[in-house]
Amino acid sequence: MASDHLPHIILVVLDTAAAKRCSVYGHTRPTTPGLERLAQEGVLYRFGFATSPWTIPSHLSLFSGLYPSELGSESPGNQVPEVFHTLPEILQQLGYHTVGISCNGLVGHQRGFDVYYDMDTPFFSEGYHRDKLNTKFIKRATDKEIGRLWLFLKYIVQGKRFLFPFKNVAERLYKKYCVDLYYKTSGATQRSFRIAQYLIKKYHGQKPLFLFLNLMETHWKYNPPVSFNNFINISIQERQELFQYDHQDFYIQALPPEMMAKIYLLYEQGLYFLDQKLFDFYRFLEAQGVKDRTLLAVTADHGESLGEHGLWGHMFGLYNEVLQIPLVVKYPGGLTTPGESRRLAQLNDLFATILEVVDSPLPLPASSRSLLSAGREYAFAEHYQNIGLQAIHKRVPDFQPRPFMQPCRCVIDNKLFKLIEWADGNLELYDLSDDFWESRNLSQVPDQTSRVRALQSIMREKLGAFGENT
Amino acid sequence: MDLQSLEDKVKKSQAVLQEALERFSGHIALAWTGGKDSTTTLHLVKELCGGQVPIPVLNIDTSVKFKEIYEFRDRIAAEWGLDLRIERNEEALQEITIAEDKAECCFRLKAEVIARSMTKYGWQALITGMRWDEHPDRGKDEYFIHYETPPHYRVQPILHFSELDVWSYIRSRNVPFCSLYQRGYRSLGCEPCTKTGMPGRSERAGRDQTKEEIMKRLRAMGYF
Repeated sequence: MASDHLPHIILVVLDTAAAKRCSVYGHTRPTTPGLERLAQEGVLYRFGFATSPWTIPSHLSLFSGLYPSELGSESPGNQVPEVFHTLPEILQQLGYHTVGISCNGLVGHQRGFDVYYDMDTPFFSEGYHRDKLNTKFIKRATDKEIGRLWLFLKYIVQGKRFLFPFKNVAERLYKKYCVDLYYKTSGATQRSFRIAQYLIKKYHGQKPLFLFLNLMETHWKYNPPVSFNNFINISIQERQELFQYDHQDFYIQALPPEMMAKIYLLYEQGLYFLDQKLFDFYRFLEAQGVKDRTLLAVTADHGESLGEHGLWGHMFGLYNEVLQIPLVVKYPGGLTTPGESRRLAQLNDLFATILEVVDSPLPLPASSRSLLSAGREYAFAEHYQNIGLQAIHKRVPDFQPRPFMQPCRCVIDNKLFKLIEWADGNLELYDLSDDFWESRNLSQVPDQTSRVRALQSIMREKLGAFGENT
Repeated sequence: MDLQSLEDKVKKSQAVLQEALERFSGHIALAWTGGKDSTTTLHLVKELCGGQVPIPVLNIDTSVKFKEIYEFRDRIAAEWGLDLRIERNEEALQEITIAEDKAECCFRLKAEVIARSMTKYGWQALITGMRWDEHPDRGKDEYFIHYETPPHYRVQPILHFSELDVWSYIRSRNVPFCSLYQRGYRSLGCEPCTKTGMPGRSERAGRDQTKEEIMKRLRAMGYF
């Protein structure tokens, strides 16, 4: 496809936004009226599932189209291994200007981003962020401070980037004193959208743009602006009392139910704030005349347990409050008919979908199924790294793990039967068409034995033996 | 020739191949790994020569390639009627530990095999699927490049192809390719090195520092 016909691609990840808590997915409180409006002009995927319950493996899946186990347990941290393509890399080769704006420090700067705005910044200038990227090599080049200083000065002088050191110091001070991306998220959210607007104005008509945003409003600590108080109206001081706790405290000590109820409402309030900002951005796209020349995908990397199954957070288990994600795609004009799709879909399907829309010649990984092509038969999710239990043990070394504090994985078939397999061999089977929130485990029901065996076999064939990945 | 479109690039490649086949007639072979680049090059020869590959095809077997590569190689060799010469360094396989010293491993199991094959078969030229954009060092390569040990020419007809050009060519001509590319792999080396990362890459640079930063951020998020 010629580059002047390529649509802009905007991929928005609402970090930790559970489909269950979105009114567009049926939640009783009106948490996502903006997303409902967007869905009227796009396609809402009712059964979208993450590939993992936490940030790093989910984002690796999104950027590669692959499942966590396919990326390998040796995968170095939060980067897609070099042996695999990344989405920004392919789009860059096709002529896109590729930009990542992430409020989550765990989302890696993947290969292929021309510019990456990492964890909030006062500077919109792409040149500044390119300088940051270009100087990253210095730490790897040498351990010696004098050597690093020499390389840094050489970069500054040769490239005439004389303002960069001053801006870098200013940014570091800004991050130290003004930013806390796990607490002061609303400013970062608003700045992220402003950067996105700036880039769209800059590049529209010049070059196709791939824009990735990760927004942290619904990640603990849930702290929307106090002025957003239609679901819960509590003072800053009351919030501070709640913010002294973390997920581990929920498991280590018995937090009062009335306190947890406030925390859960704050989550929904954060979701509402995020939804409003998202919709403002969508109206901006409309005002700029780019809406119909853009593919806008809104999703989440995973959801959040708010008390279901005795859990808070997204560190344990693969139940649907964590696994089901909002997935709404507004395609470029004329590509599809708006409406709702009930096909089985996964976060990593966006990889193939985007590449199909831009007519990339690369073969698509079998694990990523374009949402515009034939549906998938199975969805999979994996959770092998037990960082939740590790975090608890750091505080309470002799803490006795509960049954759900272990690795697990699951498969969902296109009849919506879901099998969860735990590391200790325990199995849970749910009929999601009848019991979407997984309250009745059918694994011991005699007439489900063959289904359990069949789904186990499917999981083993796709993901390998359980022990290989832990 | 201004190489803008894929077809321009294909014509340029065919011109290079035509010259090589004439210049080294009877003493030229093609190095084929089973990967996308060398398969594209092989297909270019086949198209140029009326659907046949009239020259020997050298495949270097390190003994640790993916099984899918071996299957693909054998299938295409049969389907296309290739004069396939599979060569291995049996002595090196006894002497070294695979992938322990990646530079030595590649040298013994690949470079030495190429050198020996050139001498064994009396080839004066070897066609390969190298591209300029694979590595910054390749940017200065030419279509015909002379090697000393043993004396021979490397013919590199797809230097000007980008990765996307290769896949566009494959798609446009329905060229078969190894199924591993549909598991997300972008390049296919030997299995031990492909699964753990590029050979020669510094482990410290890629792995340890990244994990440190991630742990720091996890702690800041209250996970630890």
